[in-house]
Amino acid sequence: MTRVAVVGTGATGGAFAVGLVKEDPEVSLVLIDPDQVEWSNLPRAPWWTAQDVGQNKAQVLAGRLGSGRVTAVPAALLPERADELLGDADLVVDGTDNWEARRTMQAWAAARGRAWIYMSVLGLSGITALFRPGQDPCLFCLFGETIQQGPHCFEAGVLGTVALAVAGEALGRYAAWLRGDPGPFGLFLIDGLGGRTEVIRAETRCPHFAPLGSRA
Amino acid sequence: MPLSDRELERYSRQILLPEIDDRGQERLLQSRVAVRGPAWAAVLLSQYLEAAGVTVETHREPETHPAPLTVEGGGRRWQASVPAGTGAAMVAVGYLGTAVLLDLARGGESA
Repeated sequence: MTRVAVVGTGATGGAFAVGLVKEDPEVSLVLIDPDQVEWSNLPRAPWWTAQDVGQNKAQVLAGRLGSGRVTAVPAALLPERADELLGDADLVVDGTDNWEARRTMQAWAAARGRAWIYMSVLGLSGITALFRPGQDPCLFCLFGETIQQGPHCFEAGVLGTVALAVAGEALGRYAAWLRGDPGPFGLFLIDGLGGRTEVIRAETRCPHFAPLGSRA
Repeated sequence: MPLSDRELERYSRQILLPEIDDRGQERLLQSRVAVRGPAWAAVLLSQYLEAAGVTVETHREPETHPAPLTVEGGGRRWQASVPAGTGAAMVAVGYLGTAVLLDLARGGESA
């Protein structure tokens, strides 16, 4: 049984969780999110309804997924709580729009020898990638070590169906990882306006993190 | 009809997109479409279109892959092929839904 932690249950993380439970009904899934459902979340997250506004996002989604193997953790992923919250996850999935949380996921994945999946969406575009620390390029390799928070969706806007496409590509990376055949690193660029995904391959050796240990 | 304060709050993230704007959101809220295709993908697409403000009638068909997923409404028709595999199906639904929403929001205006 694979253990997956999804951090952030909004447009990308929630869609990934919905697809994951269909793809792998036996998966053990932890949903981590400190936030409450807001009206502005509803157009990108059809797993929530108007009646859910004000309730914790992770807890409502866990209830909707209706599986005993789905656990909700209504908490923020902070560096000092990473071990506690991510626990024994085999793979961590980024459903946040927060670079600090991504740094935490990357650091935890590298320290524990785990893979993680990055997702982001803004406007009509998105990005996803599977990172195996030490084996693939990392966030710092791709975006620089002094990476800064860019605009949020409440500033630039976003469309839920683009987030769905991002989550779908991310689920494809998950399936490839699960098969043990993810291939060379690829940065998947989702172009909602053009209706296509471009993959940028890179085999740069990462100077920031040591190679992964064997999966537990 | 102008958007209410609750609608402006609810749809704010897509109204921020220049491709939609408040006029496009008004058009989405007035749009009606029919979705037809393999059940899981058809329901998923319908849920996203409804969440964006569109009124949807869903016709679920047996799960065969690849299979056509179609959307019809306002004298227009959109179609995609839904491949096997959950992730690939989500990608196809996401791209088709995006095209439908942008076209409906644009109405009869040029891109």
